[in-house]
Amino acid sequence: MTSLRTKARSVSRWKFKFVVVTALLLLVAAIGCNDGSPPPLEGPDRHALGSADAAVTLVAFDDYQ
Amino acid sequence: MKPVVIEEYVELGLVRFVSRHFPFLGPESTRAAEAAECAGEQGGFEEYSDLLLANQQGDRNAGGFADAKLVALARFSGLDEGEFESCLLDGKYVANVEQDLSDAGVLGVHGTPSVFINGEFISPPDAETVRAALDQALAASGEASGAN
Repeated sequence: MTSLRTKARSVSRWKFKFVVVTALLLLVAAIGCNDGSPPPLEGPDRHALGSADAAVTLVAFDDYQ
Repeated sequence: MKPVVIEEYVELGLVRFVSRHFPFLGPESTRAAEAAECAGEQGGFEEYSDLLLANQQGDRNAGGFADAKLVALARFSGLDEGEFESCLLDGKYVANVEQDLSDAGVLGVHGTPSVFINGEFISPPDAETVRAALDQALAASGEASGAN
């Protein structure tokens, strides 16, 4: 009887550890996916005029209406 | 502001000018931005953009940039009409324009034009302010402005 109870307690402890470790891993993954940094100003594959080696870059957001 | 920057800085190789969309004035703003992207596919982004700006109308979203008008402007600027129309009707660049709009929101853009120079927001975006900010950025980078 004592042995069964000890075993049950041991399994329960492992379950708890598993849940905690899984939660931590999920948290780390979530932080890695979204680090809160702003999107790149130039955006992907944008229309640009001028040399890519220019010392200064101007980004303009515009509307046609 | 753009012509000044192009003439005095970009053409001298001092500045790179990146155009992004912020179509916040309604469905025809969005459609015009998509149309500009379609023109870009044929190498006509700048010319078509200038044409759109030259054809702005007082009444927004009242047909000034309806699809038929956008296609007519493409024809006028010498683009392949069929290719352009198919691009526009297929919504090929919807995601690009949405991405710009979303990025603009995160970057704190509220109106147009909104200008960033080396990542720094410049306000107001008039020619004089932008010129001064460009000269300052160039001086900081060790480059001389052709305007000076």
